[in-house]
Amino acid sequence: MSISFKEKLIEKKVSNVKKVIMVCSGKGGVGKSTVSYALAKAISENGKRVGLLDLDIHGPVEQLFFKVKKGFSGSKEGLKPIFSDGLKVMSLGFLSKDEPIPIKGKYKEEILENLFSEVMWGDLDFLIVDMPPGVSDELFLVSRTLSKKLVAVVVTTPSLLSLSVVRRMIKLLHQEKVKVVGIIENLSYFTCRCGEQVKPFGEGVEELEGEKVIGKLPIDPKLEEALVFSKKIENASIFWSSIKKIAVEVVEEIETYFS
Amino acid sequence: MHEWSLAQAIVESITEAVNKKNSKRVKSLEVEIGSLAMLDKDIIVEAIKILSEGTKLEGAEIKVHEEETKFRCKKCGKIWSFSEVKEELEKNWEDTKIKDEYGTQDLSIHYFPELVFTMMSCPSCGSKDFEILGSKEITIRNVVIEV
Repeated sequence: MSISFKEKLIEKKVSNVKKVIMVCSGKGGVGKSTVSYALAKAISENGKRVGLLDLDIHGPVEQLFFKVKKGFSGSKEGLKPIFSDGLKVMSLGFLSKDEPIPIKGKYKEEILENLFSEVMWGDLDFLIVDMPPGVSDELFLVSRTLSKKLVAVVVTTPSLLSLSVVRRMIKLLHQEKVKVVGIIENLSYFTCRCGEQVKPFGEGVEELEGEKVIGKLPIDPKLEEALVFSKKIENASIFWSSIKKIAVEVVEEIETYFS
Repeated sequence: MHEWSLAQAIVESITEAVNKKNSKRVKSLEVEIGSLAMLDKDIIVEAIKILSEGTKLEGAEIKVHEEETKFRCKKCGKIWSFSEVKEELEKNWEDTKIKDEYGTQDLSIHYFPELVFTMMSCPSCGSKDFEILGSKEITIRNVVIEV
């Protein structure tokens, strides 16, 4: 008899995590990482204990949003995540410098498992998982191992190019029986100096595959500076005020669903 | 230094499997440890023994196989072992080491062995397109039970 013990490790490591929010899209470049970080930050500012896991192992970027570059520590029980900015955070970006992370095939599955089986999240109200583009091992691993506490937030842009891919993702989430809390439309519009609302990527939608759009995030010219350079997301006030409202709705939807 | 956590998951997983089969006890098990994850064999064995006390695993013979992790480049065919490159990795990746509660500094491959694909290239042709031969961390096999 051979024994697989990784599932047991995962079970233990997330045992005190109340809910897991998978931020996914299927499409690359729609702002999943930005939305993941901003949601995490906004929810934590409402008094919740929040963790942020970057599951985009080939292109991790969550580390760029934090001032600290180090801070993991080991123990008999596993790896303690970095604690910064009020969040517990794990991203391979902290450990890989600027080198490529060309992990493929079965090794990819194994490192994904290890990201869940090694990191000691402790007590959390929400663990936000920044998913990579595409529908592959990551989605199945998360939906299989964390199904009882898992919900998804889907990110899209208003563009048909994005919506056509996101539609497939929502169908897959339905097939895997993952609760979709809602769709966040990113890069939705900007307000011109003349007061007109401009929608460069199209009108977007109000619902997709039966799931409603719970918020539309405006294009904020200050966002890049606020996120990556000053690392004060509140400096991007247009974006920040919108995501804070969305965060409240996301939490309410989740609490209603699990109540 | 997360050997205790691994040992605990091993003991609980085996105990659950044995209970499902309504077996009396575990007679023996084999633990295969690849060198890449730099796990401490003695701690793992000791931890399994201590954590097994009072379970159907108590007193089981633990056979340990330590294996040198090797790599094979898919481009040029070069085969090399972890011990040949370990010192260089320790030096080049010093700034990403993770300190544990006892002050020991571990390379991140202790927790995520697959990061070796980031940290290392083929010593002959420089390619990242290589595979791992044999065990890279810890595997439990041949759990023999008494029915």
